[in-house]
Order: sequence, then C-alpha cells, then structure tokens
Amino acid sequence: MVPLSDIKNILKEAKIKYSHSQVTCYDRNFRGAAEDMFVFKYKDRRFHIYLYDDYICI
Amino acid sequence: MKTSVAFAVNMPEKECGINIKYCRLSNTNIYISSYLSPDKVYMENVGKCIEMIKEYLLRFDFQRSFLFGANGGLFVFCNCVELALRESSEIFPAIDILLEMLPVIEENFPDKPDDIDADAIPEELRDLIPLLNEWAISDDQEREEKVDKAAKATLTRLVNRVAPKLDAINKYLDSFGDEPLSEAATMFASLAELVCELQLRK
Repeated sequence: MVPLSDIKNILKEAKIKYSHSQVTCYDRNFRGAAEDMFVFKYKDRRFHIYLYDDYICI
Repeated sequence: MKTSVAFAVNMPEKECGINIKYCRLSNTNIYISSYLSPDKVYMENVGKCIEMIKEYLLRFDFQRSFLFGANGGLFVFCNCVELALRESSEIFPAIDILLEMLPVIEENFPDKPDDIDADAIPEELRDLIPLLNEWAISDDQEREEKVDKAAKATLTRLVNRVAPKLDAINKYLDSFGDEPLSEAATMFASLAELVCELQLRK
C-alpha cells in the first residue's frame, strides 16, 4: 500500500492545498468501509485520490 | 441507461459490468459494457472515443513496457474518468495528461441524463423521484458541500421522508442481482447513502 505520507509529501511539494479524510463507502446494504481520500484543486479542476490496498485511484 | 460512452483500459470494471474484451491497444485490453454492447450507438461511440484519446492513453505508459502495469488502468464512464496507478510519483504526470484528455471526452461525449421512467420504479418509491435530481449526489465531497449549505429543517424533512423507505430502496437495488444498476437505481442508491449519512450525524 502506498503510504499516506507519500501522497501528503507529493501534494505539499506541489504547493497544493488538500483535504484528507477517512470516508465511509457504502455497498448495497449500506454497510460502511473506511478509505483514505484526498481532495484538492489543480488547474481549476477538482481531483479525488483514493488509496486502496494495491493502487491509487485518481 | 443512456450513456454516450463507457469502457475500461487494462482491467475490467466489475461494478458497472464493463467486462467484455473489445480490442487490444499496445498490448493492453480494452473492455466494454456487457449491458450496453447490444446498443449500436454505444459501440460506435466507444470506438470513436478510443480513437480520439488513443494518443493520450499511450502517454500513461509510465513503466515504458506496456500501457498500464498490473492493477493500473483507466475507466471512462460518461464524463467521469478514473485512473488507477501503482506509484505515487505518477500522480501529477498522470493528472497533467488527464487535463489534456478530459476536454476531448467532455466535448465529444457529453453526459446524457436519463428522464426517469416512473413505471420502472417500484410504486412505493415513486414519490421520492422528485428528490433525486437535487439530492442523489454520488460524489462524496459534493454531497458534503450540499449538506453543509442546506438548512437543518430541510435535512430533517429529507430524512423523515426517505428513511422509512430505506428497506424498500435496498430491496429495489437487490432486485438487480448481478446485473448493473440502472441510472435511476444508482440515483436511489446515492439518495439512500446521503440519508444514512445524515442519520449518522444526528
């Protein structure tokens, strides 16, 4: 898993303000699971980064 | 479901049923929707979109060996693009390519929201249809912003109206079994998600 600190460092180095939170994702039965999510604006677009076990999703 | 384009590059997308191998591009599989593949317009749009963004896709070849490595890929659904990467160092190079690619998709394949067919919705849920356009928000952040701006009384009314029907919504969503959810069902799922979150805030 990509360490959280890696993502934080990359965003800080790019001087981008971001929010980091643990979000609750729901399946069809509305059972929750927590995932790390970063939200930031870059060049007038908003991006989300989710961290999964074996990849990063933008 | 009406959508102008949906496909996955390198790995199938299970939740939306984008799991049929369509072609190979630079040793990478392109997958299309099993649900939409009978639709001629959909097939034409997929082919056209891949052709238009092919050069951008090739630029995601950060590993210099094939288009995407294991657990890497791209998923295009309407105007939503998701990119799976293995290395954090690839984030900004990938975003820069996405920023060039997105306008091509948005301009040529705009979202086409469905008019909800009330007859296809269970009778006990039909009175919630007017809420969907405003409150069925799939994006976590957008949902949070909407809730933060809303009056407490409005949110209370929303919870009081939807919460008693969560079981019915669940039953409706389960009725799809392994088939992909319709656009209307996806909206009901987002509405239910919002109401569950509001209940947790109490």
